[in-house]
Amino acid sequence: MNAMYDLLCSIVIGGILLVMLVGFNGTITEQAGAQTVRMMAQSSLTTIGDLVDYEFRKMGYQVPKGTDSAIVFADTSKITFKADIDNDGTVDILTYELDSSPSHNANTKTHYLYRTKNGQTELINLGLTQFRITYYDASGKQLTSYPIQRPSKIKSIKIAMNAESLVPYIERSENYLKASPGAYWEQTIKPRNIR
Amino acid sequence: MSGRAIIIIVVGIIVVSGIILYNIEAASVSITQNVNRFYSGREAQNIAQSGVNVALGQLANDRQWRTGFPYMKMLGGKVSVTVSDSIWYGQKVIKIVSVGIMNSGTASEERDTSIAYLSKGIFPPGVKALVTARTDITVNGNMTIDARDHLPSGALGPGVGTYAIYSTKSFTPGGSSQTGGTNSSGTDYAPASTPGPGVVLTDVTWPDYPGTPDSVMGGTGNGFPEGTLKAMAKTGARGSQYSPDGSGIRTPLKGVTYIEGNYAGSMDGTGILVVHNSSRSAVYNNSTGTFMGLLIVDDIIHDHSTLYGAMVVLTPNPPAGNVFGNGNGGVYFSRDAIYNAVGGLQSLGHGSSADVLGWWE
Repeated sequence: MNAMYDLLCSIVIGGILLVMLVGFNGTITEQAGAQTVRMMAQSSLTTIGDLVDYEFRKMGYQVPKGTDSAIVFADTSKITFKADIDNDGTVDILTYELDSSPSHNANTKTHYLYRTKNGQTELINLGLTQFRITYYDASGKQLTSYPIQRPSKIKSIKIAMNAESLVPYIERSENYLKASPGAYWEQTIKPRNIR
Repeated sequence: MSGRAIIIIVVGIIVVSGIILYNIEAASVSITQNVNRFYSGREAQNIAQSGVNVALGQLANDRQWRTGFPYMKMLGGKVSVTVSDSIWYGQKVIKIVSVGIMNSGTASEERDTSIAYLSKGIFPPGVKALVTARTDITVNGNMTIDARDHLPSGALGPGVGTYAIYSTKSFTPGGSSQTGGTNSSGTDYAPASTPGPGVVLTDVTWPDYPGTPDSVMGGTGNGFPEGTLKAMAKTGARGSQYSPDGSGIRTPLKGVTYIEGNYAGSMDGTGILVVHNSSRSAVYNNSTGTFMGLLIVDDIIHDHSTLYGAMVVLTPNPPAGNVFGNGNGGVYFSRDAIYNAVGGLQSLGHGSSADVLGWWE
């Protein structure tokens, strides 16, 4: 009788332990997935951030004086500017534009970013869900009428980007359903070649 | 289910959980490393840009400074700044290259380079030759007039010198004086008792000959409305000096030295030296010392000094005669000396980035 009692107790305790372990395992598996997705989103974001930082800082480099501005077109999700990006003596025209249509990725919140250099367009598919540009004049006052009518007034530019994974990922273990963990990047750039 | 089976399952789950936890940790480390890399990159960028700004400050005080900073600690990292004369899209510039380094010598070292091309300034349109004048010019003694381009290194820049003399009147070389320069074809001629062909231009027609130091610099159109040089000298910026009568001038000269009376002191130093008054009767005589830059005088006689750069004589009626030099003095054309003297005058005394033609960062 005692042996039966011990066996029953051990099955119950073992079962509880097993259920706990399975639950724990499920949670950390989800967290591992979320963390990996975050890492990928963040890596994508810093990749775009590096590119944007590198090229936006050169805005106006070697653009002849006399033109109104090195910035040709300035809107909230599109900007066209001139710069000798390659430092080869030729002024290039670059456009960054976030496609307003959803991408063909599984995560339809993401959008393509188009980078056009001298008419040649490259598609950047790194899971951007936001690419918002705001413009400021010399006194730091935000220019709010889009597209900016007088780009020569622009002296600094703030770029805000948000990236998510290309595939949707939902963290069910949170108090609320958190879809597609991502990363946010924001930077104000004051290109020194536009004056 | 036996106890042994439960133990195996539990151990298995623990092992799987451990592996997953390890992956989480690895992902977390990657995220942190990515942030660190990005942050260090921006820090390196800030350091590089700060290095350029510090160099601009140095150049505002001393236009001839080219020493740079070989690895200086800055903002938690290091900066290396080199300053050199360069050509940027056909323009003479001072090139500042600043390399910012974070986490130097470690696996996570990040570097960023910031380059500024600083304008060397305008070349004064009133300078047509090593000696520009509207008077008769006579040289005696062992005077040397060498209008080939003399580089700061002491070497000659072939074919980019200028005329030795550009005068609306005559030039009379005498004694053991020697005259050389570069003619309009770019041919250099070493100083000789008889100047090479096309090196001396006399009897030129120039109705709008500049009558004031500011007009030598190009006047209002070049940012030098009348009174600018005098006002700059009075500020004392970058070692500038002003004297109403030639007294109180200290050497070495720097920046703009503006004297409104006769002067017989040393010209040791650099910059722009003006000896001029409104009646164009200020005379610089018996000069001594070595000067690098631009000399603008109403009249000059008995030059015994050494000048690298150029000089402009303003008066058509020299009150003290026409003997420019009668001793062992020498004047040598140096484009760099002129650019160093003139460059950045508008931002005199300020570490201004306004003179920067282009930023590569």
